[in-house]
Amino acid sequence: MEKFENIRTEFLSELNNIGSLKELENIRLKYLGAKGVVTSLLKEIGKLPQEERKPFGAKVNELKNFIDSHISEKKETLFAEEINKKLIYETIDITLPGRKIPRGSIHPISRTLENITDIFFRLGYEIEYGPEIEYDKYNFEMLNIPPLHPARDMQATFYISHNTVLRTHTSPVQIRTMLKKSPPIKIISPGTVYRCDSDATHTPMFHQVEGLLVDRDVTFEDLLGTIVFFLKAFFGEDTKTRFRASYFPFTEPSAEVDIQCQICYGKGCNICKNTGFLEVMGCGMVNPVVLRNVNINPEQFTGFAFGMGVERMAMLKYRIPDLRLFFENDLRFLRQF
Amino acid sequence: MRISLDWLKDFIDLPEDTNRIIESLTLNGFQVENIIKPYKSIHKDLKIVKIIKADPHPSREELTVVRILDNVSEHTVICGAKNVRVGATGVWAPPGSEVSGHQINERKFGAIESSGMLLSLMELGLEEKSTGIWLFNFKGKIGTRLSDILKPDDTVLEINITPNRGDALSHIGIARELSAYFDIPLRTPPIDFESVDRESPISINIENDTACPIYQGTYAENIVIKESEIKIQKRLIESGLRPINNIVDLSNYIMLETGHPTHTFDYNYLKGQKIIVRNAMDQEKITLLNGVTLSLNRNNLVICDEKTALALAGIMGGEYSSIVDSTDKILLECAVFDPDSIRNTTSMHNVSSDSSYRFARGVDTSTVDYASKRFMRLLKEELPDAVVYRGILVKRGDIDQKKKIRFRYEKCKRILNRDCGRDFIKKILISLGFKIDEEDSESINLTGPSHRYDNSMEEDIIEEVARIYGYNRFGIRLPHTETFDTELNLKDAFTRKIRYLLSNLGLSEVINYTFISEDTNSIFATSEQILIKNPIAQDMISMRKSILPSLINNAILNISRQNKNIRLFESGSVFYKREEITEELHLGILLSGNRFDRVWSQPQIEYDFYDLKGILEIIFDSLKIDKINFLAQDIPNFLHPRIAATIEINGKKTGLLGEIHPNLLKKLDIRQKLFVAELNLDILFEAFKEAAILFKAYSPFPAVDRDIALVIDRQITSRELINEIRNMNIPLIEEIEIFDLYEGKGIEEGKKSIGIALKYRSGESTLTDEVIEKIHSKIIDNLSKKFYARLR
Repeated sequence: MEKFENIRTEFLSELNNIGSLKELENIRLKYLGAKGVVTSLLKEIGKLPQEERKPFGAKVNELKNFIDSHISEKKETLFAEEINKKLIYETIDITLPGRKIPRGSIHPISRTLENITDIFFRLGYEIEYGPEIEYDKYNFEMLNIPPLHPARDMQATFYISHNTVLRTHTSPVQIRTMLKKSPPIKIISPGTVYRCDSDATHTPMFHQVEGLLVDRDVTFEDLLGTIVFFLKAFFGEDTKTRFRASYFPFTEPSAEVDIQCQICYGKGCNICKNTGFLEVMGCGMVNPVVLRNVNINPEQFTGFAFGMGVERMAMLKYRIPDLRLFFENDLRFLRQF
Repeated sequence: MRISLDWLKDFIDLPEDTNRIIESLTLNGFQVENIIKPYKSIHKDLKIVKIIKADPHPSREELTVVRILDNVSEHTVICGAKNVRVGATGVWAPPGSEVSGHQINERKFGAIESSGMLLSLMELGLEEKSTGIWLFNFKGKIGTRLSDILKPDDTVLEINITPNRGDALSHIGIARELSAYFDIPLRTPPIDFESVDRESPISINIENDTACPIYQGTYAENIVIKESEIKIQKRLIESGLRPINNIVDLSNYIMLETGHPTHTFDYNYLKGQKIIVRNAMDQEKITLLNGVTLSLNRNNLVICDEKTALALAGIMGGEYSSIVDSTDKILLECAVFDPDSIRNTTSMHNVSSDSSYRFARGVDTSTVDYASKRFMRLLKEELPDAVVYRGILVKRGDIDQKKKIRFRYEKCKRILNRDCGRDFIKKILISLGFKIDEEDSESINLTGPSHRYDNSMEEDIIEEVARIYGYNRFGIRLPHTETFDTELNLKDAFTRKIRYLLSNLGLSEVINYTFISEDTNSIFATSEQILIKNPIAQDMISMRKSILPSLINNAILNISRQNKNIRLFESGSVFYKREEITEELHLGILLSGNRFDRVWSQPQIEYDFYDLKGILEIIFDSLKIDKINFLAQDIPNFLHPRIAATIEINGKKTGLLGEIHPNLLKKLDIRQKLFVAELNLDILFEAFKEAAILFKAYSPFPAVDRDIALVIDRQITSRELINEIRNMNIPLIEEIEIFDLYEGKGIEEGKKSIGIALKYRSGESTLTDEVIEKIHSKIIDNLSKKFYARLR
């Protein structure tokens, strides 16, 4: 019996000293192979007297099972170790950047234009477009700006011919829409506009979004409410708004809209020229002269209109310091948006 | 316009707090754009001195040795100015004082030491460029500190006055507004003076009383031309006008004070004692004060004597009859000219002035006599010995008729959605100068003040009420108007889809000016150009017919800034002159440089034609537009003749793509290839509207893939091969794809090897090798025969 004990001890010590599946196989062959230790013990059974065979056989089987199960167990351990080794070997540098196609961008002006139009979609405005080369009649005269009127000085104009201009605002779209449809009219008109002006704060081409609402019982307070709603949606819920009396030939009363300076919160800084406010929009009640021009009875219908410069809104929103960056189209600028 | 607070105080007791004034002006439509303290850097040691002696410098003839008196003592200063005059008063910077940041010291000129210097307005920082030292008439004590007169705290507001408010282009005009805001009474400046009871020796004849409804001429003699008093000059300087002499300055002063432009003629040059206001004759010449000679026509109004035109009415006086140093008799003109007539002439001859600016916006006809008298009152203050005659006033009969406006409380409430209160409304209107002629419980009949040209209808009055009530006191609400079904309009959705697709594919959106140079425009399209009549620059004159020149410009800029891998697109308008002007929406794309920025994980591959074509195909695919044809024909000159294609959709020419011609690249000095594409989005949109997504059933049976590798002539296109297979009408072919293309070693010159992958599948059963083999070899046979192809 001592012999069995010795085999076990030796087997276990050998098993403990190996580290690979190949060595394990050698051990398996040494004990369980055709000429292995256990196999030869099994062969001895037949040579034993009858009464010893059974207990001896049982002992050998027990040993065989013992070795078998230890080998299987060891095999699993070695497998796991080997896979782990392989996995560690496969380590990559996860800090390297991923493989990607170059990232493109949407121009900040169109991004802002979309922000603005999307807010008015929520308020149920339709979108209307018009030509960029426009009749003087639609751009000025029907908007209550007769030829040579000083208000034309407010909008230095590019002329294409004596009666066509590069539109100086998107307001002619309002005229075209009112001629085409009858109230209720509830539209916005985004687009490119032009003025014969080029310096640090003016580009000869820029973008506007204008709105027009004509219906029964539209009041000044509806206008103010709409503007406040829009500015909060665009600049944030805590945006403070101020209205100033102003003059546009096509509205009466007219107002300019300021928001509290986003940089200094009204304390006064360079951006707001120490006024604490930033001018963002113009608006007013549609002048009855304009309504009559498009055959809408101002005693029956009233309306309001508003307009804003998209570049200015984008500059305030993204804190872009220089208007000219928009049209330079340097990729280092574009790819920030 | 610049408004001096100090000047305003002549007419109104201003609130203490300047910020309150600024805020109320700003909120009421008079935006204060700038607050200026013009004298804040004037040094306290500068003194007002009298010139008592002036001699030529003994050794340097360009200099004058001047003795000055500063009340207590005399000093010698050397002066280079030509306008030094004994008896005049000026400003002395003594040694130790500072002028524009520099300390003044004693300084020797030849043998004579100059004790400080006499200053010009430029040196005081009050004028851009001076021609001599600053001289003025001074009634106070010689030796007074300059900063006691030009006070460091004096404040000037720069106010943006909207074109409708010509009435506010004066200090009285602004004071009138403030008087209404703060409910403070207005003081009108005095006009009484000692005159002789004789009529001015002049006859006035207005030939065109539409253009000139009222004209007053006032004669004065015993005039001495000299510098104005410092108080007058100070106020002109604050308003941005240059002091000239006592008469011209007074005329400007009256304009800035009352809003009335006036003009003064040297009476000695008036022939026949006549003033005639008439239309100019065709080609009548006049030389204006600024030296410019104009050739006039019948649309221009002139002021004439018996013989010649003396002034371009309301715009500028003539050189001939202008006030000069020897003038001793003057005729003061105070008139009102019709805005339309003035605007017509100023725009026709491109000439304007402070005077025409005001007439173009409307000047009050009811205060002509007042302004004339105010001028003479101040003249007598300056020149007590002057003799002023009674003025002669000629006016159109209907000039005093006032505008009547009916105002309904209900309408006001209907527009503002607020009841401002009857008493409040009436009080506002009275304070603004309106007169209530009649009233009942529902309405008032008003007469507007004659200076308010902008008030002619009920809405104007409502605006006044709202303005003075305060816009920021109104409530806010959203309109009741129903919500329209405004999901993004289809075309917007379409362009947005393309733009976001391209940006997701790595391209950056740009926006460019739509005007370019004529030359550039002609490279990209030969049709007639649309030109701007008054461009800002010659390279911004022609409305673009293509987006590509703009994109190429962007590429040039980016290359020059080391941004070498360029992927850009723009969707925008292009302009064509057909029977009439047409605007089209186009999409332009430009690729240049490498497909990937330099990064460890990607090889550096330069863009080629197929990168660009692939992008277009993705666009078409995502819009579900098929029936696209790329054609190697009609390639414009700016593209590589062999690496370019035009694009047809549904048989309609929709765009093009290709490599920019090497010659053009060379001309533009660009050293990397540019690949460009342009699509007409209007046409693409039509195809998009017709495109629909319809489900197609697919087979549950497995597919069999077979490849063909052929060597064929280089000129044979892949489309020819594919079409040949398609034309065999084999329903089992599910897909045909070109999977390989090779030229070079192992393939003979003029040939190429092309690999075609075919996918076979049946809708009814699993295909057997036999079936496939039979079809496949038939295809190979066919291609071999047709294209003399060799199997590889």
